[in-house]
Amino acid sequence: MSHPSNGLDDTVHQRTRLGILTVLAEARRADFTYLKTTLGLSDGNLSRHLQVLADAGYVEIDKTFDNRKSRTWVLLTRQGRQALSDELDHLVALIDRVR
Amino acid sequence: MNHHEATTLLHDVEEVRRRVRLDLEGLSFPLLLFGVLLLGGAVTVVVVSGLALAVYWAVAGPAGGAATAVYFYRRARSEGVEPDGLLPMAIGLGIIGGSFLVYALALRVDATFAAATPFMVVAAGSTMFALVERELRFAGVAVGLGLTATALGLSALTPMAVSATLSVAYGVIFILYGLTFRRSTRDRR
Repeated sequence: MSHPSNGLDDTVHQRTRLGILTVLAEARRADFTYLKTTLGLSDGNLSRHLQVLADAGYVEIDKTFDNRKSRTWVLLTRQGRQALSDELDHLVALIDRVR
Repeated sequence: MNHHEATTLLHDVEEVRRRVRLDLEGLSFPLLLFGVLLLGGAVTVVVVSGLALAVYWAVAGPAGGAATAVYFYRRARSEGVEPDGLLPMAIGLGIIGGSFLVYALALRVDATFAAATPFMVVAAGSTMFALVERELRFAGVAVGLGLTATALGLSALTPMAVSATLSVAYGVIFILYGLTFRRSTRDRR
């Protein structure tokens, strides 16, 4: 039997990206400002992590205009939900292995 | 990755979940709104008539649903996080449509029982809302309200007395729970 950490997805297995996916799994969508405030990130930091998740197909980024102001909404994709679920399963398995 | 890191990550995930769920809390507004509407229904049935109550809910039900949808839409825009509204919307439409349908069917059997049926549907819908929001205590309260409605529907009371009693009981409980959810959400933030 392989060690549970062997199944960890490097894209998701990172505190900030795991946080982004967790927020999005609870909601239909969240905007850039909400993610930044909730996770305590800077604009640049959040942008970089979102790009990694978008490139992996885990989130969709939707830029809209709201009262002439641009607004960036982020949505979790089906693959993103699965990746989050797999990551959490691996973490639980890793903890259980030590118990 | 070691055991400690995995535990810390899972703890962080739980903390983020808790925070987002608080931001998305969705029971207090509809409970307060429909609690007030229920008390309005009690006044209508006592002061005017049972038929007036049906007309009242034909207007107040959809209007309350629309007001709730607008509230959530505006909140999502201002806070930047939007709940998945499909299931709650389906439950809300089910309560409004189901109440009238079940009432019309039950009226063929017994007027007192028919008067209680919309409240049974509301209790069933409220239980579903509570489960969606993971508020098990309120789900238990909603089941209790449904059982009370069933008991009154099978009693010897007049239809008007059943409607008035249940409107007041549901209205007061909805308002109390709405205020409780609002306060506890504010305190836990």
